[in-house]
Amino acid sequence: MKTVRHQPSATSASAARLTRDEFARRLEASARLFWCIAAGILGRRQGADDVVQEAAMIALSKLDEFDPATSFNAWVSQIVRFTALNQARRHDRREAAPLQDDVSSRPARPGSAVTSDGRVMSDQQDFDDEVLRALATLEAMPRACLLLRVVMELSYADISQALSIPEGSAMSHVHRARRSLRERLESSHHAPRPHPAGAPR
Amino acid sequence: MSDPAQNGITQNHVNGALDERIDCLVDELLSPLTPIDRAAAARRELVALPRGSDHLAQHQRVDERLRVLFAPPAKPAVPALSQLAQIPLRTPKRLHPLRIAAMLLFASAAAIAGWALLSHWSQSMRERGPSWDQLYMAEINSGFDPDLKYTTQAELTELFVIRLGREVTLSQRDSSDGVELVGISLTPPAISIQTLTLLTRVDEKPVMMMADALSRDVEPPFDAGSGLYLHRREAPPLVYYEVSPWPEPRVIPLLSEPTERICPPCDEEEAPTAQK
Repeated sequence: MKTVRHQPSATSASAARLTRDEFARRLEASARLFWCIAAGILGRRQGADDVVQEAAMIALSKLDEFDPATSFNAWVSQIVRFTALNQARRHDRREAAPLQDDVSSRPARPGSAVTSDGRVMSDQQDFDDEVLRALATLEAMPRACLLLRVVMELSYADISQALSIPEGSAMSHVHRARRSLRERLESSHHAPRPHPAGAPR
Repeated sequence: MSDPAQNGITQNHVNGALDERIDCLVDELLSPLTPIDRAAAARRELVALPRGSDHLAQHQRVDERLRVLFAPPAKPAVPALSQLAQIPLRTPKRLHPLRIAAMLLFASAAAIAGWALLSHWSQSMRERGPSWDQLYMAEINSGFDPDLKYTTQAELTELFVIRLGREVTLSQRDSSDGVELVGISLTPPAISIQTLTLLTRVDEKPVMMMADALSRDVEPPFDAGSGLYLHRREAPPLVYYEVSPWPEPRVIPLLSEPTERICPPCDEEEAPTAQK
């Protein structure tokens, strides 16, 4: 009978250490992922860059704590997540209704109509506003999972690794987020017209 | 005939399961990771389901907008390598054994000092309270007037039960014992808040008897030079003290042994630590 004896890995934490160059290379390679996590946690594009930069600085200052045998993306993602949560809290404290401000401050798109009270109206922009509002009502983690799934087109296994959560949780976060978005959009009368073949609700 | 309420529950259950299935199919269909054949199968099943097409259309639109609204920059701004090079690396702190020893020494010294301070404080607090001979004198000075005047033996026994949870009675007495029960003093408590202080006169001289749970017993602060005597008797789970001008106890011997527990207050007295 053959016995397999476990040999300690040559790349154990104490033996190997990530260099600054390697860190920068890996950071750049996964920057879009980190940005998307930041945007997902924040619920908006604004500030996502800042979060990634701040998280990168923090990660670098703690580079000695990183075990190269583990996932770099998971490690940095966790720092991004915490940094984004901190920034979201700071942002919430500063502004009473941040989302409304963000939405209203967006420039009108070509083809937009302007109402008598000066409000920009267009189907597309209204729908985007509704999507952003509905998205803002989600919790940070389901929102981040949904964006990673839809925007970054990650598998549930990858989302699970990036956010350090079980795969099943990632899946249920996405499903719940989708359903919540759908229900909120339907209640905002932005649902598509019922399908003729569809059963009555 | 079927129950409409039951039908409603069943219908909700069916709708919930259907929604769940639709969500799964939509997710699978909209994911670019899904193989073509599986996506096609999902589409076939989805359009066949009620509301399936509606959900698909809506999610397609939402996903499309999310991809636009949250499209990451082609090259997100990450700190440049030159910028990263300026950040000092934080090395994990390892404490020197001497420093650990010093910290342990300091902690031990602090603990000992704290204990000494605490015991000194408790001692001084105890010393600051009036001694029992002073309590006795205070009763004399206030006229040896009880808060509750003694009326009957039954009432006294009831008071023992209420205060200490034990039935204590005075033995059969005659006028020859020279003991006159005056009443109960409620203040100040000698041992604890539950102390029962019985004021008596023995051969016309005031005698103060105190009863409390043995578990709450204390080292009685008493000035031996006060000309008074302090007598003590343990009758588990109670303890009796007598402050008296007489060299022998005169009231304590009249008390019967506490009998069975009647009410909860004596629970703590029954702990093994109650034995002195």
